[in-house]
Amino acid sequence: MKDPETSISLESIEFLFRHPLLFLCPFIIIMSLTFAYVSNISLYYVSTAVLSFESKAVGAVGVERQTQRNKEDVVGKLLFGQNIRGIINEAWPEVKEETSPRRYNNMLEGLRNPKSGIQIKPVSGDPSLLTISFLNADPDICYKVVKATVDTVIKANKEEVEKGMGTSLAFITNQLEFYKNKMAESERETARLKTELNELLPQLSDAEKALVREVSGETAGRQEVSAATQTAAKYDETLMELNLQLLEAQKKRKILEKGQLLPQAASVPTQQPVADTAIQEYDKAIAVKELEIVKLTSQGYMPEHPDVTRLESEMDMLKIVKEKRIKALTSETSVESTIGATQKEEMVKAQLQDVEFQIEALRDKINLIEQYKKTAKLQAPEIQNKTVSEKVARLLELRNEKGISLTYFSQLSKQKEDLEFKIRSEKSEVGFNIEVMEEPTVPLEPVPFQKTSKLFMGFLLALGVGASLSYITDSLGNSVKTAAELRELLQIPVLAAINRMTSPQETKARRKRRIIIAVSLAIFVLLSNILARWITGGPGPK
Amino acid sequence: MLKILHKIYQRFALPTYVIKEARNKEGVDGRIVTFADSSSHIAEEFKMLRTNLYFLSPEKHLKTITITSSQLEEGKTIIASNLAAVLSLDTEKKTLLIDADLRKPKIHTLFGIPQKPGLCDILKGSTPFEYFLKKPAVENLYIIPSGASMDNPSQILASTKIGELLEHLKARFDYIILDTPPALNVADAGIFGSLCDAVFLVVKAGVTPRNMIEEGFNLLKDAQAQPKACILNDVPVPLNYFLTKYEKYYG
Repeated sequence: MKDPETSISLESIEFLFRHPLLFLCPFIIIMSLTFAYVSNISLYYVSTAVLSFESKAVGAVGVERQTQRNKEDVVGKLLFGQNIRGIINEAWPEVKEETSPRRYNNMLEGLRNPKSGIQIKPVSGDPSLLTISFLNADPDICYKVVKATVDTVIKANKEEVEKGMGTSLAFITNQLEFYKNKMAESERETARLKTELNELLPQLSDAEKALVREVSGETAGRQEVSAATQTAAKYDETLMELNLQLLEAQKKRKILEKGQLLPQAASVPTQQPVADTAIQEYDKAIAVKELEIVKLTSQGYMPEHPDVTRLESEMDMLKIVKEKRIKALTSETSVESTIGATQKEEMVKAQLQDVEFQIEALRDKINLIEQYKKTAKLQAPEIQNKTVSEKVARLLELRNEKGISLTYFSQLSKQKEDLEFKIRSEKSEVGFNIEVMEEPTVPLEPVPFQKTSKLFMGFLLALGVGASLSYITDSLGNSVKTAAELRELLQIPVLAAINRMTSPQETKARRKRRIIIAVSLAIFVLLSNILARWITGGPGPK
Repeated sequence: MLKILHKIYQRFALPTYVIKEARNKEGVDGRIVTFADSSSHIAEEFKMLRTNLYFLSPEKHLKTITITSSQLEEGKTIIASNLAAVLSLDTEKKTLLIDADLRKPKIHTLFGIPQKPGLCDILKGSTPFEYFLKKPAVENLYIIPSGASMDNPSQILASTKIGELLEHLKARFDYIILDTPPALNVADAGIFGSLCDAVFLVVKAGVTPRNMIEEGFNLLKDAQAQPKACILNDVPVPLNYFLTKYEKYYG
């Protein structure tokens, strides 16, 4: 007796063949849609720029790689740490931070995404070159983003290099400018005073004339007067220094009178630390949160960004908890704080005494020198004419000032030279002198599209849908499909399983039906293609 | 393009046996494959059915067989005709095929013989049955067609005449195959089945619902015509047969 169950090896997929149309139709539909998608998807463009970095000579490959990675990291940090706003504003000027922070944040995330955003990659084989590229459907946007990125990298690099040494250099340059101006001004004033004095010269006595000539730089009668005026000038200098010292001492006294310790005294570890460890922990946690917020905002995140708001709320919570703890501890700490306060008072008193003593000493010195100056001045010839005497005094003052300014100027110029040299040497050490080797251009040719993978995904989907449809239909049917099922149902033997046979007429009708289905599927494929073309605008640049 | 698509579909869908000619020159329908195309794989299936028939009841020879189904259009007539043909051709035993479907008779069209006179006339009158025997082109096969179709033949069937007729026929023929109407629609199958040695229930694969099969089976059981076996019809060629070039082997 023939066993109809012998053919079970492929039975598991026979449902596909029992409902071929149910399997084929969705399969063809999905595949046609995939084809339409693949053939009509908008193409992508990529714009690239190559940057060259002045770097140290690198020997071993490992070191080369390490340097390369460092460079990528640093460029990424420069680029994404600070100026990504600039890139967005330049590439998408319509995105305003105020109007759509969400869109702005999305854009920020998009540009930072290492897969789809701005990409920084090394040029293989050359450790000093880095490429910056951006992929987008719009070639103009590609170009704009890469251009803005390159500009940003260069700008950020410049800022980074100048940040450390730049501030002191700028200060020195400012000072130099100040002294230069001051000297020019005193020169002008000196010239004016000299002409005025020359005009007044006929009215004066001989001794006065000699003095005026000496003061205004003329050689006659210089020897007699110069000694007396020089001593007076010396006394003036000393007086100035002493007055400065006195001012400082008075400042110190003011601080001490307020009950505070002087800065150097405050650092002495006599002060009581905060007694409670919990509060210290809270402080630490708050500081960490603050740092994180600062980090995020420095990276260009908007205050509305969810990460930032979350950190802020956490920080507020910590602050509240800390305050509660402090309130609870006030009674305990009051005793300790009084002890600290009495100690502090004593120290302040001691320091105040010292400062008072210093001030006294300085005042005595100043008085003494004032007296010396007066006697020196008495030795010098007096000018009766008041306006002339004032002008002479002013001329002397200006000469003094000029001397001081000149010494400062020369000192500062030397400092500046030193600093500039240092900056030059450090810059080359950082290896960050950037040069644009390849300028970004508007891309004309699209990037080759990954058709095969998309088609394969579509094929899998079509297979899944078709198979599941025919399987569901097959399993939902209440009919008997195999001899084994029938035998199980009726508990009687199955004599035979007769195969299907069709008459020529039936075959014709079936063929007709299949042709109708095939034609409608072909029409669907065509329509879906046209529709996809219409929706996407067809392949090629838009 | 359409032809290519159709070919792809044909290769994909499970193959079916396509009848070569609608009717051969002897006037026999192409669906009687055991006669029209005896070398085909589907004819082999019927030969296998015949072999299994011997093994079904080795001790008692099954002489009268009723073929029925639970529903319409399940392939009773084709199976009965092919079974009768294969029995008569291969064993050279005299086989009689009776068209017991008095409402919608079909056998006369399959073998190209006149419908009247037939079984109805035998049951109505007293003319000896030999007069109504028809001889188609198939060797050793005799047919009694249905005769004039009747709307309500139950009364005639209820008489004892049919039993007597079958007894007579048993003495003359080695095998008697009865093609009856579906069991769920009318009671004819039960009546014939109770008078025969065996009842075979035909089930159309993938079409007949399970509850219908069970109901038909129970109805026959109640009418003392318990089916001895069943035949699964319209089964697609199994995929592994197809992949192992089954057709070529038999072709």
